[in-house]
Amino acid sequence: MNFLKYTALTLLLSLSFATPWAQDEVTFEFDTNDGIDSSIPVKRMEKNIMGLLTAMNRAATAKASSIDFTGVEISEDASFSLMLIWENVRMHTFDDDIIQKCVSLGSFPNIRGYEVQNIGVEMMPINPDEYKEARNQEITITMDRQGRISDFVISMGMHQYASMMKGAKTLEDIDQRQQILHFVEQFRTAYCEKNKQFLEDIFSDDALIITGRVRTRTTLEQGIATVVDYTKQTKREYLTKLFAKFDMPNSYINVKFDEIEVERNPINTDIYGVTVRQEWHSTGYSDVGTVFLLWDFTNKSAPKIYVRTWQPNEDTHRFKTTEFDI
Amino acid sequence: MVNLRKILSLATCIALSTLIGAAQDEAKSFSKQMNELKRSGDYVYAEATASTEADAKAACADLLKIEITKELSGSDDKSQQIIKDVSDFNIEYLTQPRGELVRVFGYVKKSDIGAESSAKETLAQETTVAQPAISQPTATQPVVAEPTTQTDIQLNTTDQGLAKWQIDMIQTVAEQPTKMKAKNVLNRYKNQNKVKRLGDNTAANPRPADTFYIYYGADGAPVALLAPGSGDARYDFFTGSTANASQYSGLEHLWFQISK
Repeated sequence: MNFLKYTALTLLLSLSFATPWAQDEVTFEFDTNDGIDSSIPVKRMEKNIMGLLTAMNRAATAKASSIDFTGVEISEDASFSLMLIWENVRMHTFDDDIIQKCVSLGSFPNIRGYEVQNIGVEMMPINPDEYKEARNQEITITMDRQGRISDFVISMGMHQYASMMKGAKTLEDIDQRQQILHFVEQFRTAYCEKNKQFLEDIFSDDALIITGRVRTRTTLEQGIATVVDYTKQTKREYLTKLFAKFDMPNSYINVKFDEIEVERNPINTDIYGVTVRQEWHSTGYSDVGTVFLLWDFTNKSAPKIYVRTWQPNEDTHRFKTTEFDI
Repeated sequence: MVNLRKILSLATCIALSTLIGAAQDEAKSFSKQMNELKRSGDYVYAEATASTEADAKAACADLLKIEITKELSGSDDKSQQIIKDVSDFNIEYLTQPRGELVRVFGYVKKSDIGAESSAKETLAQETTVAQPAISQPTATQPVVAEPTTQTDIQLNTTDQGLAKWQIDMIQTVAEQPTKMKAKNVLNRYKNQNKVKRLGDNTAANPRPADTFYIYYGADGAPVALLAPGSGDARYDFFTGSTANASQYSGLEHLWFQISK
């Protein structure tokens, strides 16, 4: 009996110190070894990121239902995004000493700010049985030009990021793809947050939108078969129906993008085609399919989506930018 | 019998603690090593996490192509083509399991990414091959012979507090007949960690007071090499006297900071 007691006690003590992640307090610094523009508010950003990650870790360890943002300069939108996530899952960083590069967002960093990517977190769902996502994720924190936190997203993993950058030919192409990634993640988040203004702004007024709805049909000849109903819509028609779903009581929408592929139009190099595998979950409906988005980056600070199509994964045709006449 | 039971209990406790502690130490060791490499400034690096080590390594290698290209290009020249292969470089990897995923950190010493490496030639070749149509001279334009290295520039380096290797280095840079040739030389020195950072008139200089400036005249030849300084007046290695940097405003130039 004593043997069992000793073993149990030691196991308990060891496990209490053996957390899969690091301590709550996080130190963060940007890698500035290659030089960094003197106009970038490095110290302010480092302070805000350290404050945010430490606050998040403390709340996760304490299993608190909210995060104390005292001392962290964070926008309402960013704290709203984080708290939306926090309603279902807590997060704790893997590392307590983090060094990352500062990524300038696109050609006009003075307008859109900066990002730090690839911060690994352990996800701690409140209802583990219902949680279907990966337990290890990466987050991206965006900051405005003044160094205040302006956005927080659970981002795609760096291996997917690498896949998206793989087709890039030049460093300029890399920059452009980083912008695309930033906007694609904002686009995905807009659905989850029911951000009507963003969706109004991102779609061109002339956008062509094709949606698909999967249903099952039972016939005597074929038994139960899956049928896809396609609908061609204008921007106004699409957003009217979408916003009606947003406004339904207790409705939720969760959209996930992965397997992102990017194609640059060979003639008009401001035009990009982005193909993503989309998982759509909303109240009373779920599906998985492939979404194609035709992006116009002529105005780099305000890109527009001109085409949005959906097709089931079984449909192996992949849209190209050259198939559309803008 | 009682003593034996106590000894067995204690031995089991120690073994369990050691196992659990070892797993944590391994995680901390990976992070510590990775952060030391990042902080040193001596390495080009990238990291990726995926469901298998092979996938994470492949993703890491793809990201390293971008980082190595940035290192080789040496400035904010966005037209540089991304290198196609990292196998020429001596890349090392650290691996860490992360739950059901694997994290891979890949790194290569900047000094190993040398001008003599085949990869740099690959970068130069790819840049050249990518733009043949634009650089083709028309029939009416005379083909201008590429200027050869100038050897008649003697810098006035007395009493400037420079080590011999630093004097040799800036002498070599000043002898280059064009800005592009000088930039290539400076990139080589950067890869050897003799130059900390460099750029040209299109790139913002984060530390102007700590950098040398070399200016090029209308004919493309260097006209002044100014020492670091906090004001407009700086020592000019070409003339051996003080010159105002503002008089060269508008000229093509390179700036570079020498490592200590």
